[in-house]
Amino acid sequence: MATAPLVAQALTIRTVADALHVQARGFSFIEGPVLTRLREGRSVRIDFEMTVLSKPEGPVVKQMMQGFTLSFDLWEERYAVSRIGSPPRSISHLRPRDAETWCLENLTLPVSSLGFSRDTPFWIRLAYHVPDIGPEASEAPGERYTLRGLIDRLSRRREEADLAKSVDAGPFRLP
Amino acid sequence: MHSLRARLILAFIIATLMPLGATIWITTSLLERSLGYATTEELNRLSRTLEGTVRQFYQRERDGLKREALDGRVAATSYPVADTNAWPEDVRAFWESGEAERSSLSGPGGDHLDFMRKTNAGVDVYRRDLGAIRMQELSEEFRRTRELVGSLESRDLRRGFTLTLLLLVGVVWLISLAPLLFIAHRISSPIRQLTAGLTGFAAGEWDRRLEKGRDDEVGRAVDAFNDMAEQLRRSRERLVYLTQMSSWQSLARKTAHELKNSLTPIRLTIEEMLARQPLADRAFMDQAVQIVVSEIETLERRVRAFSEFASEPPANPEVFDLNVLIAERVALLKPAHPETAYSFRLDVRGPRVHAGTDLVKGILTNLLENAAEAAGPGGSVMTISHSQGGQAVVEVHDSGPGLSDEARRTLFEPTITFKKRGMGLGLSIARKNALLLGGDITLVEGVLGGAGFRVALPSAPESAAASV
Repeated sequence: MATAPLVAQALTIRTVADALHVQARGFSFIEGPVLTRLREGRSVRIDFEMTVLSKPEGPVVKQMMQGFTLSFDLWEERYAVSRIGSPPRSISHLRPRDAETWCLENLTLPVSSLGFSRDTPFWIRLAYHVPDIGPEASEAPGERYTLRGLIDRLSRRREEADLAKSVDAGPFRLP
Repeated sequence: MHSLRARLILAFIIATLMPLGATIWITTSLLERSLGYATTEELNRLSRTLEGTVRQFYQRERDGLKREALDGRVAATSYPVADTNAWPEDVRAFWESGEAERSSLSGPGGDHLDFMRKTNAGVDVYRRDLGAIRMQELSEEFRRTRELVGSLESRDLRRGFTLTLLLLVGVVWLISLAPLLFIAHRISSPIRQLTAGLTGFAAGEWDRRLEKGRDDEVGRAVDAFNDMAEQLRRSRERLVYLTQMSSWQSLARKTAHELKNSLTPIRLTIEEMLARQPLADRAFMDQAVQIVVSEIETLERRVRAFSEFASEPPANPEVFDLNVLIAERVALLKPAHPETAYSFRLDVRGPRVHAGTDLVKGILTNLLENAAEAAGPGGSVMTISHSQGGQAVVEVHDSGPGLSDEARRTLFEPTITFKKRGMGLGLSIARKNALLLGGDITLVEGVLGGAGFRVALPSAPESAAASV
């Protein structure tokens, strides 16, 4: 898993009612292998993880995970995003930046669960990883020990199976 | 690498690696050639071209529909705001989005193009039939094609095939080494045993024999070794015995000579003393001289026996029927031991012997006399004859008490005994003579409960035997 650090203080926070939202400038994930895969008509799952820390690299106060499935309309050249889990939500006909923003908008933590006062500093780590971004295994489970399975295994090029990024920022205080 | 097994393995490796290498080279060359026909590049290019073409088609249709809709040249289906609950899902999603207008596919497989536009009253939807072109199905086809191309591009089939080939060939080759090791061990093991046997035999292990486990050239070599070792052991024993006998003969010859030199003047002097003795003491002197002369005669007999023992009798070999000689010797023995029973188990073919008759007679007489004496009155003696391994064999068994371990150990060694009958040299002389004839005398398990002796004598050649 490759983890590439982003520019510090690229995150900003805001609260809507009891929900803590995070905004990230330059936190782009529709690029590179993800973009290539989407443009080939295949869907991509992206798992986000938002972690609230009491200190930089410090103990975890709260953590939430959320998965999204991205797809690309080849003819309209627009993106569609679906939130995995309950309740499912989806949206289509988005430009890349809008799709990224929509994902982050749906990434929230309840402020009340943090137990922070307005003066308490905290840090946020935003991370995502794309599982199975490498080539799909063509072998069926039963073919692992067949001649075809052996050829398939020995002919694979070394590629990153997963893609991941993370960014840490802080200190923040609740508005 | 000096052992036979190591050489066999090396020979296998050399013999198999060369064709194996050639096979791999040919296979990889053919593989290289066949992979040259791969169509991945063409598939990649074709899918990209089709993607661009279809997109251009779609966008042209979309823009055309939009123009016609805005110009009012195509009729719209209107969805009033007052009735949003009855709207289709895609219309409602468009209404809830921030977009003013949107194009999307609809119909089975996406064969229709919809243009949606927000109005003050709600949403107007304009629809165009794309004919038989199902855009969503094309999307799916393109996705599959790109997956296939991606899968092929993510693999180095040349490397995969080559590594698989090398791996399988290597595994098969290594597996084939296992039976080779077994076979090499099977081949080299008896040869190693043979070598060890020869080395041990050369180092003096005369009783060393090899176990025969197979019926091939190696097995026959093992048999030959065992036979050779047995013959060498026997020859060595005979040689040792004859050497000992030679020493004993030399000693006997000197002793006999010295005794004879002393006994003759003693006898003459005693006889002279008797002649000069006055008549008054004549009776006593007669008795005394008789005793002395009797003892001198006994000593003279022993001296003759010593001389006989020391002599080298002429062999004068001739061919004769062993059964006839046995019958003759037993017939001569019977009067001396009338109360002993005699039985025979003779080879009806009459084994023919090529040896000195007098020596064989002496051997048989000695053995039969000993057997009759050991059996005693009421006892029995059995004589057996047969042919075995190119030799004529005669066995003499008695029903006597048998031989003690000590007697068995020193049976054929010459001794001086002062018993009434026998000098203690008979068996030594008999065995010496048997050895001189090319045979031997050995002690065997008695079939009548007592002692048993086997005399092996050289058989007559077929031609000589036929002429008898």
